[in-house]
Amino acid sequence: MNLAGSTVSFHLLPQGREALQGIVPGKDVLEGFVVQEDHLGVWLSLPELKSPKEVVLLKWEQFSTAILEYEPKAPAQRSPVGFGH
Amino acid sequence: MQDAPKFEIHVPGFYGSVDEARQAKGMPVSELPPISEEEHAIARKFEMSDEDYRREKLVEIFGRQRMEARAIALGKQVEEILSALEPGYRLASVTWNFDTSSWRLGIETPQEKQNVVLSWELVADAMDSQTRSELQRLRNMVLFGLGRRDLIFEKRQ
Repeated sequence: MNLAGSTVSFHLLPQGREALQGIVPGKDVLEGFVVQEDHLGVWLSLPELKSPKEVVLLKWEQFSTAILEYEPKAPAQRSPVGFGH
Repeated sequence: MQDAPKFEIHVPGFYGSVDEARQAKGMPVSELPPISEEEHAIARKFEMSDEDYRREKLVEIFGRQRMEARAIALGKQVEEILSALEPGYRLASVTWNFDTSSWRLGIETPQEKQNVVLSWELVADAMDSQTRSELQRLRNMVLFGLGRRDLIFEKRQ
């Protein structure tokens, strides 16, 4: 599942709470909009951030659980064939 | 007949799908597209028969039609998203970027023209499934690209 584009509630681990202390002090559950995910973690847009295009990294090891609304989607597309045009 | 889109579409690069290749393979020779002298020479260079080259060309046509249809469907979905915003937002173009497998939306806003880039996967998830949650992801990414974070979080504020 790719989280990009979803608003997700993350249950923070102690190291996550500490890392985000300066942005969202005292929160156990962080709700954010996932702009992108990569090998480091999820890049979040938060209402608390100053700029509308500013994002913050929440590392994979900084949260225990993620909760979001989910609906099953179509199977993955088949691989393309032939030359690129 | 559907109305012509009010935005430009550009699909400069794409692949034919497995289904399109199969469909082209089953076409009678009489329905294959013609080839030019130049294409005939290319076929020779790659040691392909004219018929095989014409089938490859048909796969290309199917692929282009599919990508153009996807661009139009995406554009109409984005127009619907923009119509819910205040006046001054207009979709100007939808462009497929073959190298990065992404779609670029050219959007005029009350302030300036902005480009919003969406991954192939996000667009495919939304357009193929048409589920509320996948369409919501598409909407959110468009709004974020336009700097309208306020609308993503508005229900929660």
